[in-house]
Amino acid sequence: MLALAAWSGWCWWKRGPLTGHPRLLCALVAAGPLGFVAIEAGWIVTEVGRQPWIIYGVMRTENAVTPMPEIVAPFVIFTALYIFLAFIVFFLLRRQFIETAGPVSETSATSTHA
Amino acid sequence: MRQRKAIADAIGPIWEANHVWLILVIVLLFTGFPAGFAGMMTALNIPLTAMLIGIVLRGSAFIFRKYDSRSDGAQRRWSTVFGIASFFTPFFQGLILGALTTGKIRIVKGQVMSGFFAGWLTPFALACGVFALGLFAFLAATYLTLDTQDQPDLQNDFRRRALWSGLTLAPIAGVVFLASKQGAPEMYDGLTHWWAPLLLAWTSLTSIVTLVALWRRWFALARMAAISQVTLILVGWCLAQYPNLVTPDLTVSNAHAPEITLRLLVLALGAGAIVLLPSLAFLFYLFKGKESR
Repeated sequence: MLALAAWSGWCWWKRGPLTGHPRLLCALVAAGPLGFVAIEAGWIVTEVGRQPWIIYGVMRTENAVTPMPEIVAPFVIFTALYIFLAFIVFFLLRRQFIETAGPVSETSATSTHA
Repeated sequence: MRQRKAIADAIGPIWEANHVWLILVIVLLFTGFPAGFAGMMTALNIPLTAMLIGIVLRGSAFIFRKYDSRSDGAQRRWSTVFGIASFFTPFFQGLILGALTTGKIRIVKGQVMSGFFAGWLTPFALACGVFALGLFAFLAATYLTLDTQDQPDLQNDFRRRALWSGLTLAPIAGVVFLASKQGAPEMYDGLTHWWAPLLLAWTSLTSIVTLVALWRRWFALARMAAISQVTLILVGWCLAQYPNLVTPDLTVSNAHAPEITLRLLVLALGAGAIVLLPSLAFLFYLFKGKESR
């Protein structure tokens, strides 16, 4: 992502508007999910890296767990809920994209011509 | 469904800001009263989870409805989800608050001894749930009469809803009080202290002012009176429950964090308020000020 930013900066500084560099634009689109990957990777490093402690050096995770039985039930419910919400987001974004696709391609077409 | 649109328009700009309070309250309880937090979260895990699902569905339904590009069947379905979630979330909130005072939840040395169904299935807790639901509906409808100044028919509709929910609150409050005698004896004792009649008279006065103001269409006054009415109910509840956090085992004095933590917490709260309150005031000025002008 840093390299991409540097590349974009260099292109903009040396060769004018970024819309004139199709390969850079493709790379930027491909890098879209990288931000999420970075966030998730950071979380995994902190959470997994801390085990078996929940508070490093103070309390172990096994001592901090709730006495609640059947804790798998809320886990399944919330996982299902968020999968459902993710599905809806996908559906809504797709719908929005289809609806706005027309005018967007027009403006990008005119800007590349100009 | 124009009502739902009015709700969305009224709360849209400050929707996210509202969740600041939820986070603030949870962090305060967690940091300042860790034993209370642990006890509540364990003993009331089931209704809290239900409330959390309600909050998640409310938030997502609201956002999905707002940003969907088309207003068709899908949007109506989101409105329905929003409505159902908005019904259950305050109900469970009242239920949980009621359960804390029943005395059925027992905590010994930080361990919940009473299981996961204690308290919140009692008639008293259920009555509290219904009361909270009525109170939220009444407050929302009263607020919305001011937000719909430019749509007289909607304003009339919300006025009617505010009047009805306001009127039904009185008998429900009576049921809560009567149920507390059996269901939450310590709460009942608290509610029969010397200050209780004074507070009750004051609360009744504000509720009468609200209803009269709604009837005479003085909507600005109605909103102010409704705010003070709900604040008084909260104050009364806190006074009656004090010093218990989870009746009878956890109190303010035996569930709090070490003194140094509390001191830092107060400092952090003060510093946070200096940033937060002017920002909120500015937010309201930007979005609410313009609307009424």
